[in-house]
Amino acid sequence: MSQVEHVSDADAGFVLSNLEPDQLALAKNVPVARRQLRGWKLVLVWSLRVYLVFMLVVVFWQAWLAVR
Amino acid sequence: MSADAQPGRNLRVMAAEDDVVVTHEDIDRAHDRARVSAARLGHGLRARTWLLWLLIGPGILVMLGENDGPSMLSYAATGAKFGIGFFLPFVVLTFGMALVVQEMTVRLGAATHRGHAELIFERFGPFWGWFSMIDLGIGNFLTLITEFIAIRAGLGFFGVPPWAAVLVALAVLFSALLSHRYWTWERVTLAAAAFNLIFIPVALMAHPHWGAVGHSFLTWKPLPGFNRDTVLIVLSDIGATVTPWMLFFQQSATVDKGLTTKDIRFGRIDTVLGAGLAAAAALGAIVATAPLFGRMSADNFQAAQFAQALVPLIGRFGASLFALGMVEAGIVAAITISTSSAYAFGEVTQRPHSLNLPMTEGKSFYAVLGLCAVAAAGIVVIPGLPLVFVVLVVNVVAVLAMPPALVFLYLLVNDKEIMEGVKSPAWMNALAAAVVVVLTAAGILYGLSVVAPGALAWIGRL
Repeated sequence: MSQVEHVSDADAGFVLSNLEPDQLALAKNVPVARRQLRGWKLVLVWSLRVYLVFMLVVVFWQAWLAVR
Repeated sequence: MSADAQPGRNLRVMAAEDDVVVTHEDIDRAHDRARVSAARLGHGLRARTWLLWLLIGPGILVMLGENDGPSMLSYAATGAKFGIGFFLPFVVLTFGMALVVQEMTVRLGAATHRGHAELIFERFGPFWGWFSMIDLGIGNFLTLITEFIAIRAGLGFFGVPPWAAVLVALAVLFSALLSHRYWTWERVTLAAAAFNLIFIPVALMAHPHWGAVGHSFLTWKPLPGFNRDTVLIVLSDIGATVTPWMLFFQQSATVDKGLTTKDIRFGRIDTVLGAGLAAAAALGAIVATAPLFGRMSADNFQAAQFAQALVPLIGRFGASLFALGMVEAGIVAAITISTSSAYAFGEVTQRPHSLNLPMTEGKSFYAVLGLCAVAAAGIVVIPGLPLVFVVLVVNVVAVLAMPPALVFLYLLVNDKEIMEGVKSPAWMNALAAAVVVVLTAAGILYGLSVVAPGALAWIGRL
């Protein structure tokens, strides 16, 4: 059940004068424009992803052996 | 004036302008910002101090929050295993790395008013967004488990049974949320985090050899041997200061607090203050356990064992403070880490995510926050689970997950389209790149120590 609260113009003005427009909660529903990763940036993020997956396997294997 | 209600938003108000919707969250944040605006009008030291008081919070919380259960255990193990030497200045260096990283999140949050998870999803797409979320989710949950392990162990020193220990921790966590105001939550959590400094008097009770402390800072000596144990402690101490949840938490908290680009300078001061306080507590833990050097095996990383071992050296009272410090570290981190998970969930699913939300309006936010904490607490009280496995891997996993997270932070903070003139200068980029290289190298060294121990020994001989 939704609940609606009316605020005075003064209250609404208070909010709008103290917050930047982008700070309003519903302003965040407007998405930031998409940017494509290309070139060295794409290579870098993929390399680090592979590094992370490989290293996690090593860590969990090592910890499992230590626990056993 | 027109009013509107939408499913999923329990409290909505329309401002005088028909196209602007003001929520309860906005009203609370506007009150906080009004106080900041009023404080800016003042002059003199008192006015500046008041302004600083209003604007500090996320930086201190993230740094003291990261002085969590596994981190303090890692520092305690460092002191007990290596004494006073290389690791004192090394830990200060790791806080320097944390400072470089966290400063970027302040600028990013203040310039974009968006959380970290939200920005990665929207700017780079869900493919990379989900990878980041999976890293964060796994890391946060494992870390949360270790916080409750630390709480259980710390209170266990006083004879409190495990179920009661986790209930106490959950009660504190939920009490901090009762006000449904970011400001109150922040101040309550800051007050709890201040107890992290308890490790400083504990260190003083250990009567440290100040000459050795000074010598270690000047020379970084004595150096530890270059072997697997050293690499593990190095990685553990890095993971005790630099972790992915910190990026997500501080950026989201900066946004929730309502900081803008005008506040970045104070955000930096907040982060420096936090790093200084957290480094002091971390050094305190190392110095406090240094007298155990050569007297006990620090391989087990059990909080209660450290406290018990300290009784003959610093007395029952000092050991009790040490155990209480572990409890505090676990509770504050449980609060901040579960909040970090809830922020990220809300940002990704575009559901309301703010500590300013009333319970009815932020059901999913508070549900995620509470469920994460309750699930981690529940796991800790299940008898027979190999929880030492989690303690062993948690800091290492944090270090390994940092480079991919940092690259996205680096790309975002250098993105001219979203950074409103506060993108990183070249020297800051160089420092950030150095942090990525150091973290990756530390991870590779650890991998070598496991996969090819001979190669590590060969490097040590160089």
